[in-house]
Amino acid sequence: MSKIGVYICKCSGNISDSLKFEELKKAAEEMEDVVVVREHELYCGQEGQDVITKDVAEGIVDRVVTVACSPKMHDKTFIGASKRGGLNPYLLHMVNIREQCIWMTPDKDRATEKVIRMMKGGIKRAKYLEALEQKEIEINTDVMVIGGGIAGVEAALELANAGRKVYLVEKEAAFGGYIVKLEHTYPSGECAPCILAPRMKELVENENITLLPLTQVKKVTGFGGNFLVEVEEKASFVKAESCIGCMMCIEECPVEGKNAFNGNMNNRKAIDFLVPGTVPKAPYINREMCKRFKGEECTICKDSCDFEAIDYGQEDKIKEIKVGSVIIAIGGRIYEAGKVFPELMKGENNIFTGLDMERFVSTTGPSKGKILLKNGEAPKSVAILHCVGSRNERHLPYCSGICCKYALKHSEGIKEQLPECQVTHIYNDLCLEGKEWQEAVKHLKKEGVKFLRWELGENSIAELNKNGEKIAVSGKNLKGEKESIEVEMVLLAVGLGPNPDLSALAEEFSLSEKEGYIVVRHEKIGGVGTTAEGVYLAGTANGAKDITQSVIEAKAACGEILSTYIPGQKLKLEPAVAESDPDLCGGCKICIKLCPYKAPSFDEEKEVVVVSDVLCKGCGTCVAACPTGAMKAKNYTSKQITSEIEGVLQ
Amino acid sequence: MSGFEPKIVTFLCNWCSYEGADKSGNAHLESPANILPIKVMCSGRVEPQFVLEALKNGADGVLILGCHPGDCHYKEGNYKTLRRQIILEQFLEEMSINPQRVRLDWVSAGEGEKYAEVTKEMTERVKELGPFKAYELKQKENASV
Repeated sequence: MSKIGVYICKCSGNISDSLKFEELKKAAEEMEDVVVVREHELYCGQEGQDVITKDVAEGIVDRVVTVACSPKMHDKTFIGASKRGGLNPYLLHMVNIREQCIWMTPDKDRATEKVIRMMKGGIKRAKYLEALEQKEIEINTDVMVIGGGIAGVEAALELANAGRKVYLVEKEAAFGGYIVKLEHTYPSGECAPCILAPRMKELVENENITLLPLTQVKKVTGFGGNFLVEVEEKASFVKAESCIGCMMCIEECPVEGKNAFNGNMNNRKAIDFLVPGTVPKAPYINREMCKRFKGEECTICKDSCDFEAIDYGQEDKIKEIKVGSVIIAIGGRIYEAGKVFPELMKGENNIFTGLDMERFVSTTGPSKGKILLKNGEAPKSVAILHCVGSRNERHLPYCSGICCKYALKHSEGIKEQLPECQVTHIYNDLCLEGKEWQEAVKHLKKEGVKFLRWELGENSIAELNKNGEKIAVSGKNLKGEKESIEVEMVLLAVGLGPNPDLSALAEEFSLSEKEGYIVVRHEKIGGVGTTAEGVYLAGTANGAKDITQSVIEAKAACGEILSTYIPGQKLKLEPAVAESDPDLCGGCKICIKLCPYKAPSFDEEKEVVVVSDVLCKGCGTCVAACPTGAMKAKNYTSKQITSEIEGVLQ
Repeated sequence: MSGFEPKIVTFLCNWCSYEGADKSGNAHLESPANILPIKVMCSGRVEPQFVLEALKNGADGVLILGCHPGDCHYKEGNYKTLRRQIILEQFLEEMSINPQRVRLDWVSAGEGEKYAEVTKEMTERVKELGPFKAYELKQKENASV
């Protein structure tokens, strides 16, 4: 038989003045298993708490029911009071009569009646409460950063400098992501390679960082604090430790093809660097280009290498890596302009994207820094189209918040190189928050740059038509009147969309996804967390944003990791989770289908479901759906809940 | 029926609706004393069996309140509840129970006013339906014949 203590708080008159207090006490005393009913002016005060502690410590009660305020207000207070007396915190039940009855029921009689019902429910439930023990497990403090763009690089350095071991995973053959394609960064025009170069050097030199280029996450098991991540590392066929970067192999390689890095505007070799001058400092063999992958025998690169760095025998490797937490920092993808202008983007037209322009103005770009038309001449007129692929239901429904800024940056760059060139922005709204930009627009207008404000249009802000060597750009102004201009070059300010690889990662880490992006734990106060413990986001994994914001998020994610997974500390597991009774489980697997956390799994040998007490969050959805009653929600058992139902209706 | 005060067992999810109810109380918004709150971690925990237990034990109505769709603390527990509710309503009708007695709604942690409104509406609805009796739909059918 249980010994239930009922502690009715007067809340300094807040409660006692609003109901018939004596009736309440009497009702409690009449309940089965109740051994003491006590009242106090203020149980949350030290003196009140001591009453509970003493009753527990002296063995008078083995279950505590407070009839007082909300657990949202004082659960820690009463857990503490009971615990100090030696009571398991799960043997406490709080009946919230203040917020959920007294304060919403002005009628004293009706309030008394409801409070008595709520209290009876609580007491009946208390009888079936079970002590639960909190388990602790060891944690792994190593971190995996997925995505080697600027957000991933900054996160890796931050963590490594704090003494954490970091695995930096990058799908491509080189680190750096989009930023390595940029020549200047807005707003101040700082040189992008200059920002990146010293960080890349640190990346290579930092002993805490393991660099994994050409690597992708394949499978994830485990949970926050203890993940086992299976990655596939593709062979580069070049031993990075032997290569000195002399480029002899590149010179000798007989296969030439389009260079995607430079927007296909120049050529590369089958063995080449993905990005000139970055990390790793070794070239790799592009399998789609190399003769050896087309069944032809060719050893030219190997023969040309004096350092025996080329290794055709290299194989793709599966590696298992244990980490405690993960930062997903894979970048967004610039929306395909070809989806907006399918015909025009195919042909040899003078229509370029913002990224193409980045390569134009880059000294390592296809034209060695010169802005050129396809015929090799400098353009005399350029139209810059805003909102391409953005704010449009057919394409990206949102504003990426970066395109207006890079469009302005490019117009500045064009005017600098070609002062006589007529540059015209065709925009609908200028999305330019921040302290620098209004001044920049004024400056550009002074330089003669024109700004035409047009309607967004069904597909794009403007229609483009070839007119001989020129391009006719036409649309409607805000008065609804047709306008048209003719230019030699069109620059498209295209928006940023989600990375298609996010879906697979979301699946592996059991994350929620919305419109291709990963949903954050909380919009305001959990912006870099996810719905899974131990998985954090940095950069464009949760939405389009620029370099500045991406790096801020990377550092914020590191902060959360450093304060959550602390060396030497153990991870406390919530014990109020689901548990399956193997004797009752019929193996139907309904629970497995319902659980968004992959907590239940099927034991093939015993043909029953087992629930991971680490992955389970204790929602109880599987319990409600279990047809045999094998699944049990600890602290919310069916017996506890039905007893409370009976109590409130008694 | 005059003076009939129905008993309405109300399941509140821990993260949204329980907080919403607290908020309603904190703001001293009036809500009927007919509402008998029971906390669960997620509306997804509410077994159809609980609804039937409540009716069996003398409830005249059952209210299930959870997080708004898309806002579930457990990602999608409330969608499971919604799915289950549709089947439960059909089942209740087959059991000759007016499905109007069981209502599923969404109250967020910030919606103290909505909590007060929903509980009032539900109480009015159940008052109109009258006390719950087994085979109520069949009896009504017979009476109309």
